[in-house]
Amino acid sequence: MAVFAAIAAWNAFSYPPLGGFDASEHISYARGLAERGEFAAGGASYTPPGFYVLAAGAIRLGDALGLDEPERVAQFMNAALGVGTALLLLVLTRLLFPGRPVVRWTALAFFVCCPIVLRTVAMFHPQPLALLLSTLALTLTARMIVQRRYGLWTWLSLAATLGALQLVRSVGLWTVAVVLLTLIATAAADPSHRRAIRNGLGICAAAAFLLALPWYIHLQLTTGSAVFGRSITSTPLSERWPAAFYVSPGLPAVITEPHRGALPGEFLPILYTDTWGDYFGIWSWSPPRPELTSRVNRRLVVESVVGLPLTAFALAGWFALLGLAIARLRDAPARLVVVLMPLVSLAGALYYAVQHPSTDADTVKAMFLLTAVPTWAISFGFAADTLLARSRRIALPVLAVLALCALVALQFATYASVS
Amino acid sequence: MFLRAGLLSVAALSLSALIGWGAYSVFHDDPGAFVRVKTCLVKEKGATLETPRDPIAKSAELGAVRTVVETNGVTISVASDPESAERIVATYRRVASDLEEGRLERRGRLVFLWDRPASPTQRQALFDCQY
Repeated sequence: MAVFAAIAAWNAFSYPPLGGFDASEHISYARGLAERGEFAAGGASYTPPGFYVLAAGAIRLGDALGLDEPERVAQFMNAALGVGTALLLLVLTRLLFPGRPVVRWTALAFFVCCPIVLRTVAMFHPQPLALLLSTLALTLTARMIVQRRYGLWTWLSLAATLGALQLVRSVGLWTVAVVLLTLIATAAADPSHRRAIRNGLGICAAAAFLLALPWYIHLQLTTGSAVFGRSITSTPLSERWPAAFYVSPGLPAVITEPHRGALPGEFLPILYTDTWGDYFGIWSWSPPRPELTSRVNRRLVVESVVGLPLTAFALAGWFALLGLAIARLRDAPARLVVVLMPLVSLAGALYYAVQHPSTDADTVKAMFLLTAVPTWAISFGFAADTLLARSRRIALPVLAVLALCALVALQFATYASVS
Repeated sequence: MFLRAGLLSVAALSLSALIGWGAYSVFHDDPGAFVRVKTCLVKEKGATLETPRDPIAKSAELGAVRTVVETNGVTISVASDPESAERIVATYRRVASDLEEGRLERRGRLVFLWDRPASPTQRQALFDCQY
């Protein structure tokens, strides 16, 4: 945890404020709020204002401190949000797997070493706040189900979190869906609390929706699209993306040239290379960072390779949890949040890409699935714990290889080592 | 039991990806970076393409093409890798050491030689077609 906090702070200190995805648009939005109290027109105006309100305060603080780049205070805020999410991950894992510390600590290790996390919390971007609120919502839901506490304050805090999440990023809707589905499944699996869940869930869903409603009305009036704030294409479904976009694994370029210069814009390859490497060139290459030379490409290749066993292990853990959820839902319905979150996020990202096709595949980014990383981490932790319990002889060398891969990924996620 | 099933599922997915790639490679020719650049310029940017007469551009391994972006002519050389593209840039600099700022640019394996210094929108139009 200390290593994560130190790297996150160092990245916030060294990563250029204008370096992240659409950074100038996000900064301009926050500055507009800080200086004139106005919403952005154009640029990132389709993004809800939750993050920018906080970022505007951070910029004001940076101005008051006389910093050359006052936006850095918002980057430090994002680093702190990343650390807060890591703490919540520990709490969530403890709730879901009590008495199994291996799940907890290996999940934390995965979360810390997955480059998309440290990369995103270094940027001036709303996504880290969405990550924290999403993880908080999952934790509150799990706590409610595990401890069978369906009191008014519990429901209200969940509603406030879900409402706030929708006011930060539209991806928050996927978390809302996961929470609702998990609670519905719990009500179905637990007849003794069915009535309490049914009544509370109705109030919670209504309150969460009402909190975000003014923003949805604003978007509908200004853009004609209440949720995403972007016009939906009229292109027929079959012509939006080529068939390869949906099914191609991107081999061999996903390993040999994992960047947008060579790897075609396809769904899964972009998500993979943007998670473990730097597909879009916002971290380790592309001006003002180093050019995409063979040396830089070799580094991206290494990242793609070390991501393979980590992804495979997390995926195996997720499949195992899916099987458990199907076979023994009654035993631990709260674990459904871990099973549903990656699935719903992936479906959401695909839906968004299909609704907004672009020539450069700019509407597909691993960051859109950032809120699912804590649940991938728990899946990884579950696989590690299960393997260790079954066969220490097999588990130890496997975990040693995974730890080595994770360390390589962690080094890549340290901006000073790639810039 | 569940983890074993999970590991088997991952193995099955990996195997199907490899088989799919293998089958695709057998029945499909990769158009290559040069064709992709040309297709993007024509389809996405509505550009009209010509064959350049510039011998340096013609020496690019994958090919070269000439077009006009917002009234500014540009010769695009597509090298096999960034190092080869850097060699093309060096050759241009040797034969025309007094090139104005903003006329010659390398981006990845692509080299752009503009007739006049390129504006940000002209550069962006070509960056969108970088493969």
